Amino acid sequence: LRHLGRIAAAFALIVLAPAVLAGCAGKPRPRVAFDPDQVPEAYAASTAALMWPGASRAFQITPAGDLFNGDWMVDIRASADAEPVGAPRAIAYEGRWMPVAHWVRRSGDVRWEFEAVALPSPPPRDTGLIVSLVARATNTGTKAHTARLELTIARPASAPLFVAFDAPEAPLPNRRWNGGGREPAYGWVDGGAADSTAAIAWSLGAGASRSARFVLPAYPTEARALGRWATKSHQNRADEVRDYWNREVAGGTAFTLHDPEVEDALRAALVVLLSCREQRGELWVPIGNPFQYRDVWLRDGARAVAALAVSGHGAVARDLARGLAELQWPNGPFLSQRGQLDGTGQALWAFEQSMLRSSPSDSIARYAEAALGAWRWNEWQRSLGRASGWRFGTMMPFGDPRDGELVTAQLVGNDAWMLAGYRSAVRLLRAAGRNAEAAAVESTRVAYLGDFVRLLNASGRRDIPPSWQGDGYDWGNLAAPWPCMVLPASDPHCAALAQRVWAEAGGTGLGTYGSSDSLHAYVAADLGTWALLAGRRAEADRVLEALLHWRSASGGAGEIFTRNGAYGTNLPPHATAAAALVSLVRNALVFDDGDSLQLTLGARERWWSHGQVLRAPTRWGSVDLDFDATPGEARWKWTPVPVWTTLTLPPGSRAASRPAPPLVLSESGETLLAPPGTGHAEIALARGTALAPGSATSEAIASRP
Amino acid sequence: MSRDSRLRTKDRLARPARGAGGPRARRLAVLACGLAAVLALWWQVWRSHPGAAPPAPPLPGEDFKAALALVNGHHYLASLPHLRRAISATQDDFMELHLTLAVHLHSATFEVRQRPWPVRSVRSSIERIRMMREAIAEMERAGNFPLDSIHTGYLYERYGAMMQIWGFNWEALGSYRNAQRWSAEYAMRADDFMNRMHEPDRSAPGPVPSIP
Repeated sequence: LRHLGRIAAAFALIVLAPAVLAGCAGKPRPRVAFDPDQVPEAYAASTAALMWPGASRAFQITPAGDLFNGDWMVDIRASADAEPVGAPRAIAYEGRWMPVAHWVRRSGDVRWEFEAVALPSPPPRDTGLIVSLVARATNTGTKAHTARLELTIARPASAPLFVAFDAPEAPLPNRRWNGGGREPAYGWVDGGAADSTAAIAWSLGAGASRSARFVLPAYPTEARALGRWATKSHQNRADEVRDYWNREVAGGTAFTLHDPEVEDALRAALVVLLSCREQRGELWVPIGNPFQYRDVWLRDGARAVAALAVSGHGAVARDLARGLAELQWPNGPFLSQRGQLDGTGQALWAFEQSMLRSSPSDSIARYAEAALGAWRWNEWQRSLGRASGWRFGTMMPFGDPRDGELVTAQLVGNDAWMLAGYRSAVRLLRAAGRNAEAAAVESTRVAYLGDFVRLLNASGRRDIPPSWQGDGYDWGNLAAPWPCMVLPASDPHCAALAQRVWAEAGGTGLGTYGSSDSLHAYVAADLGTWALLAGRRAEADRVLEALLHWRSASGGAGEIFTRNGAYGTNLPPHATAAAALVSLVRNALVFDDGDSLQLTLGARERWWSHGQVLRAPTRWGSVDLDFDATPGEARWKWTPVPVWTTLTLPPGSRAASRPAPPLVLSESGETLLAPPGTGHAEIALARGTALAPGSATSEAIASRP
Repeated sequence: MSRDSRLRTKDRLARPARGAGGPRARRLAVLACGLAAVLALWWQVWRSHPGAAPPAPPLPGEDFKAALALVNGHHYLASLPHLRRAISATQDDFMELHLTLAVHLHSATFEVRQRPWPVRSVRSSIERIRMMREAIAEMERAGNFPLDSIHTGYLYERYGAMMQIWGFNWEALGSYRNAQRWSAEYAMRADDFMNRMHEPDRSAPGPVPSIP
């Protein structure tokens, strides 16, 4: 067998060597046929981003098939014998994740194929990007046609959906394409153009095909520099993009799940998270989306940091956390937007999530100190509130977040996040060796949590309300079960909250926001992880299914949309929706937020045909996991950790016998417990769950103290 | 809670309880100590300026005048370089320069430019929070000058308004109470805001402080 393996390796080397060498020599790889119209599109109007990490602008490929960067449009008009093209059905990335965008438009017999990629601008500019675009016209009919293509660079006639922060007030110059010598150009086309429009006309015989190449910078760029950039073919530029993103994605945790949809969705989410970053000098900061949310929110940035940290992109996550540290105020709290008081807890949580996995960062002392300042600030507030004698005085003061709960009230989510921040502060201080201060924070956390639970129980609510006063939309309260974990997963308040939210959304697995007709991509996604922890695997899977479904053909998810997929002015992709998907899939396989390592909490049936997770960063080091199941047996192999490991059996199965020591079978019969230092487990299986998730008996067990 | 009990709560916070009492009195005493500590801290910072000179008359240099002209057109962001230059160039530093810079820094964080289309003038929260940190530092510098009660009260009120707008309510209330100690005209504002903190869903939304 070893001999056969060597022969296979040698054969592969011989076969692949020419391709590798061709790549090194700059020759494009063979073009792979890709039909964007075959890619699923969840939204009523397909759109995609041409974006790049660190760039301060991005191009949107609009549903009409044009390009817009927040400053100017590239209006693409094509026709065949004066018959104009229609809008594309879908604007798709290759494999629904690789950001090589394709879209097809048709005018009569002529099929117009567009392909575009974004790459960073060459030095000295380090915040720009350049798009390479190819338009190819193919006459699919039996008679000749005249195909015309015009690309016009112009400002939109009316207010656009997003505006670049640095879009100048001055109108664009008359000459916008190359051809004007050293003048900055807004686009490059072979031969240039005298004004705002580059026009091409071809006579296409039956079956004939012609193509044209355009180079489009996000900022006006010296025409000669664009010309130099264009000397490398579009195919080569597209290969550069493929190489870059394959390398970036492969640099993180490797998920082999035998589930292409989930694996591609993870890659797509990582492309969004890695792209939605900007630079401020040496600092990196997370932004909400490449278009209308090019700002920094702690509530979104913390999610991005955590998702990147748990998916093996720890260095990027730490860089972004360092950026978020800039949002600390002199009095101690963290706040990014007025009235959004959840920011302090979120910042501390983001520091902990990124700085402690897989081992404490060298700069942990700085974050421990920042956490201590934030904790002191909130304890000062709590002391004043306690002295006030007000009913909710010990909770955070009222907030007017102008978003989220959309109410002026004392928000439950603010306290849930602050409690999460206290927990994170304890972990950061311990990691920094400041044990006495960690103990002090822990004692106040216990007291704060006691106040929280007492007020929740006194509220008369079965669930967890948005605000202590009772009003508001569900938002921060949805994070209370997880990631804030202020209540045990078995607490009936969590189940009541989930049931209410999921029922309002019609059992779609998502939540609504504002109108009951709406769906929100991520606001209730945390309940998926709560469901995993509560043993409600089917409900967690429904959340995952919804996250997978509500993605564009370019793999990104929006924020709020109707059940018909209309997102209005709220363009996808949203970074927090991407983070929600990464977090849920990762938690379904490797969960390390609690005191034990929990594996295969929500592994789907097909993942059990030898699933593998490599280089998963956890609080106890980097963990590799192998798991597989046959009808009669389940097996796990993982990197041993110094805490107990909980192993969840495959869905629809139960233990057929007691496991061999030192493994212990849980009372529910659905999980095995492995003591610290264990790295291997197996158990005989019988079909059928002992207790159906969500059943009355399961509830009773789940709600045990 | 009835209107009467709200008034009683307001009264408690406005006038710290004296002497020993029950748990309520002790709570009030702790609260009063907390607010007094805020006051003391501020006062210490403000009065610790070693070379404090009597308030100088405004010296509106060209930069200062240019800044004011820009502010009249609501161009706060554009006014900042002028103000910074005015401060760095002045021989006779005075409170108004620092207060003006602080206030305009704060205002600029909310500025929206209209062309080519409406968009916030300051790029992101990273820049806005940096500006607010600078604004707070400038407020503290302004407080280092020897001030009469009117100016002191005004400074506290302005700082409270900044804190209220950003959502730091306890800081805002503390600063309003400090303003009230220097000028009774701020008492109603402090009381209204305290009522709002107590029952944010019942009290009528107070006016959003305008800066400037």
